[in-house]
Amino acid sequence: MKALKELFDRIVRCVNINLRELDYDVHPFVKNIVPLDQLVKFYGFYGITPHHPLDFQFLHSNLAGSYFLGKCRTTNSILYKSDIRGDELKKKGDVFQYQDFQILISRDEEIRIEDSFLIKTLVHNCSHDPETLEKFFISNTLSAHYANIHGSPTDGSFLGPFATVDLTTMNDCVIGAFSYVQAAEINHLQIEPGTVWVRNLDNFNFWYQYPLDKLSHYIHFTAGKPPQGLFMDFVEKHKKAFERVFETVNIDPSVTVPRNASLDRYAVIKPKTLISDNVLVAQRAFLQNAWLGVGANAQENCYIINSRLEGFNVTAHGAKIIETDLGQNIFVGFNSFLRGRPKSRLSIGKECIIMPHTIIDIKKPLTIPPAHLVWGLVTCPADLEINSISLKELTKIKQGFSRGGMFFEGNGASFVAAFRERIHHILEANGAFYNGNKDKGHAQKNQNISFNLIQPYPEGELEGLFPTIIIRP
Amino acid sequence: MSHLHALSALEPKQDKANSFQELDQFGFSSNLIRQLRKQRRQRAAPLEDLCKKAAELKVGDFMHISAEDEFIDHEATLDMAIDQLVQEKLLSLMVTKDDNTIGILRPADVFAAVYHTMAECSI
Repeated sequence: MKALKELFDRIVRCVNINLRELDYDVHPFVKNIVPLDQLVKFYGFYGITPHHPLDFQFLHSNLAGSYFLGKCRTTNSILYKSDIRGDELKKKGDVFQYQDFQILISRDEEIRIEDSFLIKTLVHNCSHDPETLEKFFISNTLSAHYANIHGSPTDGSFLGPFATVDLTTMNDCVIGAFSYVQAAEINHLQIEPGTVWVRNLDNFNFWYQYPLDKLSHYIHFTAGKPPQGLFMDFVEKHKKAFERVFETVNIDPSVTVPRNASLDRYAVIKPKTLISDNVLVAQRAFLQNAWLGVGANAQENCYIINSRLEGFNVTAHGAKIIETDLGQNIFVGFNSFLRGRPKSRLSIGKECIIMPHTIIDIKKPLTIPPAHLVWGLVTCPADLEINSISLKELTKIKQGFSRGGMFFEGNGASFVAAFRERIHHILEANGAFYNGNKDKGHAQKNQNISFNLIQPYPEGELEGLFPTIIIRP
Repeated sequence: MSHLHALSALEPKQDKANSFQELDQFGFSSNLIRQLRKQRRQRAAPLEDLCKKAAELKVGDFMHISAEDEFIDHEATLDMAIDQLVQEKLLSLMVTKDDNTIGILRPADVFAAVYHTMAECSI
C-alpha cells in the first residue's frame, strides 16, 4: 500500500500549497478520515450507453466505490465512493452562448480530475467557464463527504462535508461545511460553514448565514474527527440498505418502472414506492414509500421517505424529503433537508422554490403556501415568517432587503426568472417533458446502462491503486 | 478605552451586526450596507434611552482586546509611533517594556511633541 500512501501525501501537499495564502492546512481534517484499507475493499464501475461518449482514462488513481459515466480522466487521484456523472458534458459541435459570444465546442468535453481526493462527492453538469469549455477540471482539490462539484471547474480548493459549489469556477478556496456557492468565479476565499451565496454579477446577490450553534446539530466538522451531526447519522442509518445493491451483480427492480422512466440499478427502492412516467431516479438515491408523480426526479444521494411528490419536482443532488407532501413544480435545492413527522407532516404548496441547503425540520405540522421562496433554518411558523418570501413579493424588489440572516440585493424579478429558467432546464434535461417522440432526457437515455467493474491491485506496493486503464470504443 | 470604544459599546447589539462587515466581501454594495445599517439603527432604542442603557453596561462591555499593531516598544522612535498611529488609524498605542504594558501614547501626546519641535525650529 506504499504507493497509495504516497499518493495521499502528494495530494495533501498539492492542496496545501494552493491554500497557503489562506494559511489553511487540510491535513488535520483528512488524516485518517478514510482509512487506506477501505480504499482497497471496493470496486470502481463505469457505465456504457449509446448516448454518451465512451472515453475513460484512469492513471495512477484509486477509484474505490466510484462511478463514472461519460468522458472522464483521472490522474494521481483518490476517488472514494464518488459519482463522476458526465451525462451533461458538452459535445463536439455544440454552441455555447456566453453573453454576446457564441462559442463553438471543438471537441467533446471531458471531466479531468488530477491530484485530487474526493470523498463521496458528486461531480455533475458541465463547465460553465467560457475559458475552459471543453475541459471540466478538478485539480489539487480535496472534498469531504457528500460535497457537490456541479458545473464548477475547481483548482486548489477544499470543500467541507455537504458543501456545494455550483456553476462557479473556483481557485484556491475553502468552502465550509454545508455551504453553497453559486457565484460564477471565486478566488482565494474562505467561506464559513453554513453560508448560502448566490450571486449573478449584473442582476442579484443572495446571501444567508446559518447560526453556527444551530447548524452544528446537523453538521459539524473539526480537525481529527469525521464529520458529525444529524446529517451524518441519517446517512449512516441507511447505509446498510445500499450494501445489497452494490454487492449484487444483477438486480431486478422491485417496483414497476414505466417505459419512459429510469430507475438506476444502484438506487435503493423500499416498498410502497410508485414511479410515474418520465421519472428519473439516479444511483445512490433512496426511496421508501415515495410517490413520484410524472416528471419528478430523485438525484444522487437523495432520500425520499414517506412522501408524495405530485409531479415535475426537482429534488436536487443530496436533498432529503421525509414525511412531506409536495405540490407540482417544486424545486428542492442541493442537500436540503426537509423533515416532517408522521403525525406532523410538512406540506409545500406548488411552485415553491426551496433554496439549496435549506433545513426545514418541524415537530408540529407546517404548511408552506404556494409560490414561495424558502431558505435557511425553519423549525416552526415563526422561522418560516423570517426565512421565506412570496415570489410575487420578491419580484417587486428592485434594490434590496434583508430578513433574519438573509440579505438580498438587486432585482428580485431577475432572481425568480433565473431560478424558474434553471428549474425548467433541469426538468428538460431529465426528460420530464418527454412525450414519446421528442424531448428525451436522462430518464429515457439512462434506462439501459451496462455497468463494468474495475478493481485495484490486491496486494504489494501497488495495493489499492488501480492499474492504468484506457477504455475506448 | 477610547471615545470610539465607548460609542461602540452603546451601539445596538444584534446578530446581524457582524454580518454587515462580511457583506462587503460577498459583493454587496456599500449603498445597501449603509441602508441596512440605517434600518437597524431606526429599529434600535432611540438616543433618549442611552442614559439608562449606559448605566446598565459593565466596564467589560466597553473594553476591547488590543491587536498586535496597537503596541509599541518604549524605545521606539517618535517617527515609528507617528507612522503606526497614522497608517493604522489608531486612537492610542500601548507602550510596552519587556512584554509589560507601562503606559499609553495618545495622538495628542505625539502631536504635542511634534508641536514643540516645530516651535523650536529655526526655519
